[in-house]
Amino acid sequence: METYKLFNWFKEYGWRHLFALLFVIFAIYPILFVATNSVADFANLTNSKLIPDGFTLKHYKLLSSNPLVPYYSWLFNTYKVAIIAAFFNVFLGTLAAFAFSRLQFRGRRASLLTLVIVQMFPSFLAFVAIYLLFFQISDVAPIMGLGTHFGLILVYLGGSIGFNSWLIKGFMDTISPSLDEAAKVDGATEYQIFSKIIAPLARPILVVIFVITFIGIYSDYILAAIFLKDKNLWTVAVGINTVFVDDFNADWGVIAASSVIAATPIAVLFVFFQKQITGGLTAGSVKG
Amino acid sequence: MSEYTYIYEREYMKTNKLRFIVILLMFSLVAVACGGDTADDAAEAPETTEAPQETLAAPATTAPPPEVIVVWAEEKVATALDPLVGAYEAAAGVDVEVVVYDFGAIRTDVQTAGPAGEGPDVFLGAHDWVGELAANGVVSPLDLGSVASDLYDVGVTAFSYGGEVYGFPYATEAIAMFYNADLVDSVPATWEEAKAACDTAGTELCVGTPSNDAYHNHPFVASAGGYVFASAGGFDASDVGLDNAGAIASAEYLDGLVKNGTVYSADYGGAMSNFQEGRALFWMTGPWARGDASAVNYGVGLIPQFDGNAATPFVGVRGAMVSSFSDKQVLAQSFILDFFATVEVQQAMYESDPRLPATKSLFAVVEAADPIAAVFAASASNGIPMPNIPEMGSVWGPMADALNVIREQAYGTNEETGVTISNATDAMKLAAEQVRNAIAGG
Amino acid sequence: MTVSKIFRYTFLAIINSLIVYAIPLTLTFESWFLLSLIIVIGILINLVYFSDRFLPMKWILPGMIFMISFVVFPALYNSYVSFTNWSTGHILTKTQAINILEDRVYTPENQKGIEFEIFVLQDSSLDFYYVANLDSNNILFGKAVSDDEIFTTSYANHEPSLFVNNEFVTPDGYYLLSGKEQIANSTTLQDLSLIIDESTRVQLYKISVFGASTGRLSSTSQLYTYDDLNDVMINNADNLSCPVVKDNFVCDGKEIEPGWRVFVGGENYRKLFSNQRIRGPLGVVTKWTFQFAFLSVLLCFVVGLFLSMILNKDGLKFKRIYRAIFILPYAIPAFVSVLVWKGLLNPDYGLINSWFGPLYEIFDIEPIKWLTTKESARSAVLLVNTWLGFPYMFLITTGALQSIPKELIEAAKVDGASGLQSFWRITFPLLMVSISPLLIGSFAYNFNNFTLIFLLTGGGPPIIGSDVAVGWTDILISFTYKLAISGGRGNLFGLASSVTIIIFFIVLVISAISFRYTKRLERIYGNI
Repeated sequence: METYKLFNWFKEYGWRHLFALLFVIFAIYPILFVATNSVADFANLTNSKLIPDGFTLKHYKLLSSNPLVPYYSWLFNTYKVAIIAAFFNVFLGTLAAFAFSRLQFRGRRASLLTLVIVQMFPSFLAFVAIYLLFFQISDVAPIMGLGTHFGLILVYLGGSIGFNSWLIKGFMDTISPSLDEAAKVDGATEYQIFSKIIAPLARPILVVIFVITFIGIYSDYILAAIFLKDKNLWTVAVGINTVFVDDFNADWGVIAASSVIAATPIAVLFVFFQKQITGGLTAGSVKG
Repeated sequence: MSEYTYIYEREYMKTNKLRFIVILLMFSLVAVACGGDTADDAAEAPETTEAPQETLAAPATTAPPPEVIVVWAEEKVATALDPLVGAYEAAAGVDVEVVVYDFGAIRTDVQTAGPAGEGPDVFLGAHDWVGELAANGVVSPLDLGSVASDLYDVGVTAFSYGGEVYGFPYATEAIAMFYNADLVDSVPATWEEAKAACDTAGTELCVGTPSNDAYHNHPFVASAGGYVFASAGGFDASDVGLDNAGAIASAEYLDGLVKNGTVYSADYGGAMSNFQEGRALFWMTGPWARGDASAVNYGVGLIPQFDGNAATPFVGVRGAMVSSFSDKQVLAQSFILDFFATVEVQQAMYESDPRLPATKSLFAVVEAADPIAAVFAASASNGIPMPNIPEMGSVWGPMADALNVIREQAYGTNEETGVTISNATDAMKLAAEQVRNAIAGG
Repeated sequence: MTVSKIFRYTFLAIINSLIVYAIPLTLTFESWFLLSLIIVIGILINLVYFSDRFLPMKWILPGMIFMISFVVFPALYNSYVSFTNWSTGHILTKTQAINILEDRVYTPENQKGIEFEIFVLQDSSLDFYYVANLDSNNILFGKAVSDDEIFTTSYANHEPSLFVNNEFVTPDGYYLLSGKEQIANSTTLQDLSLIIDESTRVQLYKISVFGASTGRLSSTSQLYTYDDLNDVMINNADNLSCPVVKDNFVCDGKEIEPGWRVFVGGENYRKLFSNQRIRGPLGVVTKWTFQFAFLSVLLCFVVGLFLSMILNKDGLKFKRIYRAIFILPYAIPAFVSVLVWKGLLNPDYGLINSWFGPLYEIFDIEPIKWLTTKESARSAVLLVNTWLGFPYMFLITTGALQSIPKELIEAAKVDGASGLQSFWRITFPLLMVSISPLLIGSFAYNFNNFTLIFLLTGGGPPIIGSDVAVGWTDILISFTYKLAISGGRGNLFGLASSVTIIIFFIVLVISAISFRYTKRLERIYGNI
């Protein structure tokens, strides 16, 4: 009887747990591994293991004390670039989305279609041309040329603004037009309708778009790697994938510590906004 | 109805402010998109002067304002120079302003700050910048004169470009051979003896150095007369020597060393851990690895000879250069040749940042104090500087690939490319051909 | 209203003055592309903000400027670059190359490194005089003159009387400057020369505060002179005339660097498709790019669907915990996860090989050299990408499964369908309806998954014998990156651009396919 029950349980539920556990291990092992190794008291990758024998914070301390690895400058650069770019992205995207959603004009549908087509091509595809373009901008206006955060931010703006306008427009379409029609009857101008009615109501989507764009820029490697040459100006993605690769074994503890610091805020953001981000992702924006 | 009107009237000013802000934001964005000069000046200053963190300088005291020599140097060298410049300042009646600068940033910033009149008179940098800096007219030729007799040729060659010398070399870096001192007394003079030493010591592996790396494997192609580019008074990109008789002979010799197990296949980390754990008797790499090597009781010797020729590693050199944007050319030259080149200054810099000496006089000092550093320096003095011309960018890939084929014994025909490499000779010929094609733009 | 008008016109005035300021600069640097970009944007801004006819555009233009500047224009520019020889050694315009060459100087061989004592004197009228002690037969004395006086001054005289017993004796009426005093006057002195004959002069070279200063002979002169009538470069040292051959001046059969960029027509494309040592690798890369993208989607989808199916069961315990954990890999930025996987996969001391250690011993095989052979590197890339991507598929399939009405499956069961049958006949087709556009999106994403490939393997291991930097795991975009930026074979911008054009076309086709699902996409977008 007992065996039969167990067998039945296994047939209904048990095998599911078995496979789920298997993939739990697969999913979580590298994450646990890097987390424990970042505080583990051993020298290198050779003698690393999942559960370390001793604990230490020395790897984290090393990150702030090694002048050849300005890790916290990288972190600061990354936040600076990602926040500024994401902010303007949302700001300019909202303006455009308002026009697409609320104003009638000739070529509206054509412009929308252009947006969709353009966003099919990731902006980094033409990185050769972007590189050469900024090569020339460096001559004319060095403050936004190659090697500057300013130039990098501009490129990030160009890359995702079309897509974001599209997403925001989609949300604005769901806001009932009766609201602004009433306002219009009262003689409200376009700008007033935008700033008093539509923009405040669209706030939830704006937050989500901001987070998605922020994560996307934070995780970018290729454009940052092309743009930033000075070690002190690197972003985290460029920094940790450049300085440690020569001596992977010896630097393992520090690699783990820097990975944890770089990944944690994003992971937290992600878990917090998981539903909304996945919604945005379903449309293929950040990764997938 | 009226509610809305009310709000709008009240908000009218606010709205205008908002519009103003929007316009300002746009303006600032578009202004830079079109390259404004006002925005330029305001924002460029922090960009280019970000790197210097502190200024080490003595205050001016003499009545007529003394000439100021601005020196850009990385932190360790700057720290060493700072206490010494006082003597020169007093004797010469000048102000020497040593600016601590991030090493890598010097290369880019001399080119941007120089034309703006904010650059240095003298800056310290790596020799492989010279091609770019000289081609862009950023650095002035420096006639070394009598100081040259104190320098190893490798350092002078390193700073030569287009027939002129562009810097005073003060430090070098090159690989040599670590040995496990518990198992062997020294690095033998020849590769045959090295193999024999491994057999005697009974280690599993013999000589480790990364397989897929043109830098570490350079001695294997260049010791018997091979070279990347010919170097008489500057590197000549039209003369590629990766497939000359010497290069091919030593590549074939390397092939033999791989076949008989003298040199084993490894990456950098693998060669290191094998040496640290006593599995390999020798490790061929540079002075930066002394810390890692100290996991065992180690010694360092010269890389064994090839057929009676001293091994020629690739050498990196650092030196002092004069910015061509400086309006004090003679003073800057004098500072380098009359002060910077003296053995006292060189020694102080060595003590602050123990790279290998580039001057014979400093070598004599170092030899007594740190015999291992002296071995590396001796190895460097036999070596060939990494070419400083931009065409070197087209060499690393083909050269590393060819050496990797030999090291991994990956001979055969590649169906995709239709290329057959049946021996070391083929590998070197292919590399040389590819380098020539790349340089010709074909 | 007037206030806003003032703002508007001030703003436009500033924009336009900036444009007017920037245009000559772009002309100086011959940045034609940038120039056209500035003009287009300038026209757009003026058109939209001057008139009231394009009201909606006032909202759209700010964002559009960035899209035009950094997405649309680069794409066009990319096409142009693919028809040029733009690469290392040919990155300048011809004018720039000529300027650089004309700045080069040379010193005749016989004057190099000659160094001698030099004494700096000053007479009562504060003019400077040099005494250059070349050797005992050439103790030259004369006035030090600036460049504009060279042809009016007399040559220096040999004055052996200035040395008595090898000691310098200051002549009457002159003052001998110490090293310190020379330095105080160095900015003046550095421009003065003592003229020896019509081609040779002596210049102060090193001021010594510890001993005598040194001078050197100098006749440093311009190495190259451009003759624009005949379009040739003259080498003054060897008196050679160097004509233009395509994109370089060629002296005596030797190209002089730098060259310049020129339009080369379809040469890059010809090279891609005719040279077997490029065509072969390009074929490998293209094939692998499709395989990689397809297998990645397939693996992630299978794993993700499988997991969502086993969790899609009422009454299953720990469901929430499982879900939370399955999402985790997705929450980590890829550039971090790839780094960690690189550590795990390290063939010498990575954990994967230590786990497999017993297996290797049992079967007596060599440990797998992860990432260093073609097969192992490709498997590793797929393994890591499955880890990175299955959570996404898990999430979307979970959502899709829950939206399938339970009654349908119940009904099938009543009709006697087995679990497997109802899955293939009902669940799966319904799933695919909502998921297939997402699969196409995922395919397109992986098609250009640069971060994974470049950071995990760098595209390696190399394909031996190819004329460009390329490896077995390279996908088209990483191949392009290595061609243009980091292949160790120079910067082949022109060639890289032509590969980008190929990618553009492929993406276009993928987009066209996914456009068939536009309606559904719109719905999804709308629902966020």
